[in-house]
Amino acid sequence: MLLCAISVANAQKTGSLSIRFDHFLGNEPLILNDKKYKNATGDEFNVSLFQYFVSNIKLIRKDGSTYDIPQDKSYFLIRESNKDSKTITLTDIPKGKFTGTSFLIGIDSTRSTSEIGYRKGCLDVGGDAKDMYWAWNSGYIFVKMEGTSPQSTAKNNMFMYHIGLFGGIGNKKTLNNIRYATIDFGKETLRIKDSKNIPQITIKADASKILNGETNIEIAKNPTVMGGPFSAKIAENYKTMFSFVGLGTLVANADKDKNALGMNQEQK
Amino acid sequence: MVSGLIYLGVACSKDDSPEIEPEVLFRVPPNFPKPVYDFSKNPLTKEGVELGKILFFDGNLSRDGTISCAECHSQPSAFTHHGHDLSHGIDNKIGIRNSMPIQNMAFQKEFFWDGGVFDLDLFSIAPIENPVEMDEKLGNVLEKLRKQEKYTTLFQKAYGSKEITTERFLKALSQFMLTLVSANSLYDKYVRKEAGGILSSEELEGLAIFKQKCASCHSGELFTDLSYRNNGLPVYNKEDTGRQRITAIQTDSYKFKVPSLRNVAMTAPYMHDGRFYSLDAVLNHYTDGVIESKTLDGLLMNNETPGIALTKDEKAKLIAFLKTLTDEEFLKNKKFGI
Repeated sequence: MLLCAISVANAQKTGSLSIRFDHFLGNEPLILNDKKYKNATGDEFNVSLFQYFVSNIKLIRKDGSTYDIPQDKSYFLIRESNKDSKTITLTDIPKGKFTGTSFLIGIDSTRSTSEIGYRKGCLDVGGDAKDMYWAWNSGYIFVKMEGTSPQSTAKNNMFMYHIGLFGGIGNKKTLNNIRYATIDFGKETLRIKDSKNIPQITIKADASKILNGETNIEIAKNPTVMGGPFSAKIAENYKTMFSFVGLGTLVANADKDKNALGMNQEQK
Repeated sequence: MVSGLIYLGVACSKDDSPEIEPEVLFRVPPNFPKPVYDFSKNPLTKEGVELGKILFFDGNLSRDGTISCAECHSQPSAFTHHGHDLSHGIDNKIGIRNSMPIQNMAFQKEFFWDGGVFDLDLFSIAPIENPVEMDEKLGNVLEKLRKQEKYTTLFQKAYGSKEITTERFLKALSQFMLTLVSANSLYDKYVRKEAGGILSSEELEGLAIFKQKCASCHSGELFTDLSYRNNGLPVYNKEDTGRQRITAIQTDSYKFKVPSLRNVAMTAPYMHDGRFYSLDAVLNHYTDGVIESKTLDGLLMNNETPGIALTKDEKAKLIAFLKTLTDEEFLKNKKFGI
């Protein structure tokens, strides 16, 4: 109740923002299953699944200071298979000008170790996060890509890259595959004005960066990468996956946006 | 002493009827350490524990309805799977590890042989979703429960509304498991100087040997220091590197949780892969079977040959002592069954 009152009082001082993630493989739009691609080592493959968590979103001002989206509204599961999930809406952002944004690819260690009661929406391991969680080594999968390749030596020519690991808890450390993406808007400036004219940032997410980068992944040698040390090489690769496309305006009514609640739900 | 007890139960009534002693759902045994579990985030209630118990015994938690938690965690064996070296799950599939007893869960900071789960409330997801155990998705379990009036009623009783969520489901299972406290063995009565707490001279000698030769790892009243160690077992399954699977640190290779020895006489077989079927076999390993390796625990390197020096007589006394850790009240308490 109190929160509602505050948000009405601040109606003049805050605005909303939409972020759209466009999925590519190299320079071509990502098409699940039906399209064949090649990686840097020449392996041919298709992609059957591509999804990842984005969290801890910050908006960056010219002077380097930031506005941090409040924790409870800053977790999103983006799935190629679910169009709605690829556009997220952030609300109650203070009016202002911003020159860039940054976010965590995955889930931070605090939320990864928080009690089950704080894991709602896209973090619900019995709900939307059902295929983005490791039960045997408690933690979320940050980035997941699967597909097939004739070069794969695994069952049914599948390849599976499930990358997670937040660094562990207490003095029992695990790998830390938490990586951040920083997007600079270049010459453009994001202006948060009100809740009616919602600006939209379009970000390209290039799934080929999972395979190609500092370490070019040969599917034949590493068809399945999950918890092991090699996962860090894939995390190093995909941290460059996101790039700025442009700024625009979301014309549609934001109220209808299913993701406006912060923690997006999978479409039923 | 009173501060060592946590009373969590029904509130006292306000009417004139004689005050009823609140039911104690969980209490810290006087000789135990402080619980690790944060009860403030999941206060035990009679209804919550009851719901957790019904869930624990319900095959609906598995894909085809055949495997309940209790299948591999049965009370007469201190909630482990007697006679099965490796966990025996759905479709007769065999896991890679020996199922562990479920007892004194409130006092453990990590779970499973490799400690991969750090919160009791996240613990139950692992066996439910393990393809060779219950092979179900947590979300499907919740869907199945939502369709049963029995459960909407039980959730209503436990939580005040019919909603069946991940949090409520997992916390109810935690509530039941938290009540599984084993602290009334002959040994406990002995250390607490309670009636009947008299150890024979053989058992007392066994305790002395235990303190000297075993208690650096099986320490304290839980009989484990909760650490992960390589105890020199010959490697049968190279893939199962134990703690290293969680930490990805080479020096953790083939290290496994030091298990509690409470009710140890009832929880055969032994070791993470259940390779030993008797306590004799376990002690024979420590005297004659310890294999040197890069990660072998330093405490097993104190002698000229790796392992622990024990005479035949000492072994017999140790086993006599270990049997005093059997807690008949725990194994037979009807409130833990349905």
